[in-house]
Amino acid sequence: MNEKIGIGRGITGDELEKQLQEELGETNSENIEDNEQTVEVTNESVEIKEEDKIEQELSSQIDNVEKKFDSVEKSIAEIGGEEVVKQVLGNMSEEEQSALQIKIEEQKKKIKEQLRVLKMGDNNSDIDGLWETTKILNSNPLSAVIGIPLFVTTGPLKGIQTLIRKIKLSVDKRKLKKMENSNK
Amino acid sequence: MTEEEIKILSARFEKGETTVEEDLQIATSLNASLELAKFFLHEIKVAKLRQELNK
Repeated sequence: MNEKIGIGRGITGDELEKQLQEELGETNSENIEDNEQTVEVTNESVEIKEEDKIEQELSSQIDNVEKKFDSVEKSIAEIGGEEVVKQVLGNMSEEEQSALQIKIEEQKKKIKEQLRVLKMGDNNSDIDGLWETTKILNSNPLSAVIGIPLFVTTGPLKGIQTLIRKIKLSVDKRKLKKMENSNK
Repeated sequence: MTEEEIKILSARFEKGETTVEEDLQIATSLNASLELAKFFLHEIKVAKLRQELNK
């Protein structure tokens, strides 16, 4: 079995087998490394896909926000402007204000339920924090207008517009970063 | 989310440091608030008409 094989090379069968095993071993370890790299790339792709999905969801959410914003702006104009909204509220009796407050609380519950069904927000327990988020993020929020009894200073719509612009800016920043990374 | 966490999120948002998930949460909050605003303004329209009728 140990006869020399390979013309002029003086390699025994055992040596050849050893060499072959070594080479196979290297190939195997290379394969393992390749596989690990593939797994890493795959995980990265899953993360990118997931991020893209959230980014798409965000874009559609921004579209909804803009549509609703336009509708709110239109309604305020139809009423006669923000000052008239305040006047109407000011002319309400305490009973009427309380009744409106109850209606708004009921509506809040309905919207919360819709968000729950749509599984929006981080998780269900965070839904209560959604109102607060807008309130704190915006120094002059529309959510303050709807927290009766209420009276806002001027221009809640401008505050909302600023918020929308900031979110869009954030989206654009990420897009730019992604483009820069893909060009590297 | 606690008030403290919201404040931290708010500060990061101001600096443009929020992640896509956080931006989505903010947009969702805004959407919910605007939805409520629509309802509120509808009620105001009705109240305005009533006040005008009672004049």
